[in-house]
Amino acid sequence: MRNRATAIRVVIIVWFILAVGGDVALAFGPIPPGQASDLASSESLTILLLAEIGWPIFSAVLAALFFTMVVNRTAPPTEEPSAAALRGNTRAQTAWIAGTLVVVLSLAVYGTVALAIDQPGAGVPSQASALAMPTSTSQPLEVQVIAQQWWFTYRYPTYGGIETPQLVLPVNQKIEFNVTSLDVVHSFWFYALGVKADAVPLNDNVVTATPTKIGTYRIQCAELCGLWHGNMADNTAMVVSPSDFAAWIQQETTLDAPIMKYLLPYSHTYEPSPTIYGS
Amino acid sequence: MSTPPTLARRLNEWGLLLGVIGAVIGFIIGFAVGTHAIPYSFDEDNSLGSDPGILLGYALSVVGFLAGMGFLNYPIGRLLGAKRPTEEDNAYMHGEGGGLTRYFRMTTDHKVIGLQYLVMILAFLFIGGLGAMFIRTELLTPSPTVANAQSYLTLVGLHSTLMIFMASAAIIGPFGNYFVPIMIGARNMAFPRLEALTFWLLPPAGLILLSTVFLGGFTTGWTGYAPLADQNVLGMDSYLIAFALIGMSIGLSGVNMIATIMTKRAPGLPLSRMPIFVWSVLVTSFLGALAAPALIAAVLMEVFDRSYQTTFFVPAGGGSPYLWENLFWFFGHPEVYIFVVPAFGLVMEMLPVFTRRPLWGYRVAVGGMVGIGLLSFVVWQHHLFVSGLAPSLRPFYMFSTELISVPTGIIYLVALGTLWRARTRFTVPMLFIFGFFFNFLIGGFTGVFLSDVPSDFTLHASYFVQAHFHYTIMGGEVFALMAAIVYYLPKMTGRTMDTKLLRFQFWAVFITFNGTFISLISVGILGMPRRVISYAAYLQPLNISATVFAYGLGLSMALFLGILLWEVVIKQKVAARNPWESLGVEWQVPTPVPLFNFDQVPVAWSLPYDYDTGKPAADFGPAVPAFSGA
Amino acid sequence: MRSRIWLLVGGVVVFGVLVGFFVTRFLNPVPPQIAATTTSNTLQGRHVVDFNLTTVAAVGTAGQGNGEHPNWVGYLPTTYLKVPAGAVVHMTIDQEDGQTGLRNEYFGLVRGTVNDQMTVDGKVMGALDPSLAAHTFTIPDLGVSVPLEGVAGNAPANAMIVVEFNFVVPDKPGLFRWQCFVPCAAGTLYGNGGPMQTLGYMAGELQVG
Repeated sequence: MRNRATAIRVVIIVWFILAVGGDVALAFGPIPPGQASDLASSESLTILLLAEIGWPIFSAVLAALFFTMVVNRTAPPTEEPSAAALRGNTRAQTAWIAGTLVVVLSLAVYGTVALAIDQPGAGVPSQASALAMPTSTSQPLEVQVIAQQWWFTYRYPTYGGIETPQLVLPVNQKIEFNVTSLDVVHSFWFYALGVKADAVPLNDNVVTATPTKIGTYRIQCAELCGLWHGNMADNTAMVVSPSDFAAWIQQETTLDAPIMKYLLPYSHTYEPSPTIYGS
Repeated sequence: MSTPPTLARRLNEWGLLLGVIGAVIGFIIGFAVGTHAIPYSFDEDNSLGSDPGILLGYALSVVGFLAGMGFLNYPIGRLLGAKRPTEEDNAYMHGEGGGLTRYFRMTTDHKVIGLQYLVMILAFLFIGGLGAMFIRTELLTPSPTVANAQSYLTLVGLHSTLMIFMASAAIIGPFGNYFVPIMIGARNMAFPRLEALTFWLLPPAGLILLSTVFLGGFTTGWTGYAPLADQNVLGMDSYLIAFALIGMSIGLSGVNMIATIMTKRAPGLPLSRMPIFVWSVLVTSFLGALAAPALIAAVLMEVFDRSYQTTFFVPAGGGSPYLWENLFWFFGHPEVYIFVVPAFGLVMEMLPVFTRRPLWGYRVAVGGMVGIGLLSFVVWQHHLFVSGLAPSLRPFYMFSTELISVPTGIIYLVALGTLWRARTRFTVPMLFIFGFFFNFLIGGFTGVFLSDVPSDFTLHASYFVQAHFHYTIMGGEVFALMAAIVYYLPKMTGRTMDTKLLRFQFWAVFITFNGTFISLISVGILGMPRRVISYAAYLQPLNISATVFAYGLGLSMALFLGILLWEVVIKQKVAARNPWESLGVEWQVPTPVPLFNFDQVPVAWSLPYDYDTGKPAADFGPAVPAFSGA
Repeated sequence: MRSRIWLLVGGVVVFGVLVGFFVTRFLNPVPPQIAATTTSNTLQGRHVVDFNLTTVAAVGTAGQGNGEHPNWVGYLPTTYLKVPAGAVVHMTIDQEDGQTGLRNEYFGLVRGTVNDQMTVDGKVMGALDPSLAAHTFTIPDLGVSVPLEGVAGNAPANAMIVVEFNFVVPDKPGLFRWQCFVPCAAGTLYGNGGPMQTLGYMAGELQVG
């Protein structure tokens, strides 16, 4: 390009429009996984923040790349020399490394803080045995997710330890998901609530979230677990009002009545039996 | 040769056939011993054999294959008191006067091995790509159509494992083996037989992996998570043996490269003046040599778990699935830098040639690659952020993962510095380099979301991850591979494939690649998990978009292979000796490269990037003009 | 040059044949599917169709079924079932296997069938002692799960327990997977390998419509 200064100016303006436009669009766009729980909201916020910080950097590198590569291109057999040979520039290198370090460090600090706020003691049960019945919505209600090849079942220890193949949760009630497996590694993914936790045999993986929106949602397995991994999903998980939840518990308790005497006592993990190599 | 060929040489000529016979004999012996002599209590499957039978059969068939190829001649001969091989023997083993047949036997010539690697890599890439086409076809609809739940998972496992095999050797195999000795002024590798072994482990690995189709397939994907792997039928044994062979190949290749670079450099070539590609190979070799043993150990444990009722990974027996996850990803994360660091080296090697200026910031570039190498060993638990393992360690792994973007950013700085105010020649390799930087930038940008624990909570194990690593491996490494094939083909084969059609091919592959994986990034964000055959109905439009672009991607990749075959095998247009007017040593040697590279070991080195002065990087004795034509 | 082209064409043809073999033989082998027998009965205003399956521990020795793995356990004659949309399926399962026991006792409950009941040798039941189960017949997406009582260890040879139940399939056509939840694959870890993860044995597809 003949006029280098003009070219640089054009690139900078294009970058600026891209960066600001992108950031504004991001701020107004819907950011997954949505707002159906406090956990999902904070994940959305994190994704939004990372995107807002990352996008201008991303588009700046892209603009620089575009400028240096495309604007300066020349058809192959040309003898027009490049500008003066540069072998490095300590100041530019130091500035670049320092700049990326600052961004990275601040992201790490932000992530750590966000992690501390979202997930106190994630992965570890808050109590050795099942939680007591919550007296307020800020006290967690324990729900156990039992993964097995290839269906999730759920136990509600505070409601007599009933087990169901459908997940129903009361709205605005803090839930402590205790995820465990009876055979191989699965992963419980409740997309709308932002909950994802690997189900590992003889291990109790804990995530807390407070669902805030009534609705019917999809849950699915997110770790390859064998033949029916792709079908280990369920479109009928529900978040309902507390009264509907009470009615549903009542209905399930009746349905479960014939099997209750056979169910194992509630525990955070279960020894898979028969244990090894079948009969 | 004046003397008549000895028996050993005659046998070596027929190495491939003998190898196949050896493999069959080895398999029969191993299968018989494993099936009948090893006590095995499982009642798994009578008609196809038992796990010990298949495992031992495959292991011995590989030994038989290598023995037939002639890999045992030297060590056993020496043990039995044979004389050292003479110069003439060495020249023969190097492929002297071999013509085309030397590509089908064991040779110690790194140039032959480089080309063998190239063909092997392209075959893996093609078969793996075909698998991807089947996968995308299946995902056109939210429920099973062309595959069923079982064959789909095997398809996913085959595609991913083959591509991992391909990617771990894609650049270091063909170009590392071919050009590192030339670039450092060496007549040969430090361990040429070992080098031949690293290649000849790959074809058996590929065939053994593909044989899983006849053994019931495997459902674990390339990650092979236990205890699911314990449940799998015999097809799993194919995966385990094949992956162990690949691990050995990666590790041994690393040992050979480190020894070569450390000991065989020409006089006057300190580490601080090595071409940047050699540095990237050195870093990669350390990664391979240190990480691959973890994989081999894990695979062996899995073999014992499956066959002999050990319980390394079975929680009910005192083991832990986390052990496999940790061992696997301790290998698996350095592995992704085994893919991409040589690609960094290659593009930085090519940039000065096309910008006609020195590499900007050579020292920080080296520091960046070394930094990537060191950091890559302490980030593996970001694959386990939601696994419930050691939550208190997550901030550390989040930090170390984000830190790795600093040395990676340096590579971009070096590229931008080199390109800054340069008169760039937009040749075909340069187009692919542009594609490399563009795609890898998206790969890095998406990686930020995965390194941060709160956002990883929703993105983990989704198609977002899948698109992320396809952006880095396919968009990064494979684009660099295509650039390097076009760039180095004139030296490696004496043929050129630089045609107008190739420019069209670049734009086709670039657009369809981005179309495919931007669609997949979107389905990942919207909640589609990986490796599923059925998905939620609302994701179908984006999946159709991904599939349509993927067909275009497959066609344009096939076009690349077609152009390559057409130009090299059929048209055979002779290439100029130094078509890119490079100052690199590898371009100053004649085409075809002499048997031992140099008649006279070159001396007096500088970095081969002095395009401002046009000073050649080395003194070859008899003057060779830097920019001569054919 | 011409010979080189022919070589290339030959290579492409050989490769194409290999891929074709892979696609036809492996990718989606079309299994024999059995259709339900229609009856004139109605239940809850819907047509009743009949199925009769047999569960056998060694499928190869029963003289029929899939002989590739004669020692495996499976449903005979096949696990690929086809029923008309909106019908009531009257399922009769001749259960010939021994008692393995359920891993998750919850699947001892009969769920999703008409009246949440099954008939075992003529006796109406709503749940089964989990330790007596040999298999289950479960279609997770329809919420149908029925435990199948195993034959006692001291029972005479050829003893058989007949389990009958009715369930309603959706009015819309679809493909539903069904499986067993008893870890009944002897010889594999946690009893969930082999036949449990191979279509045609303890895993199958129910095509509606």
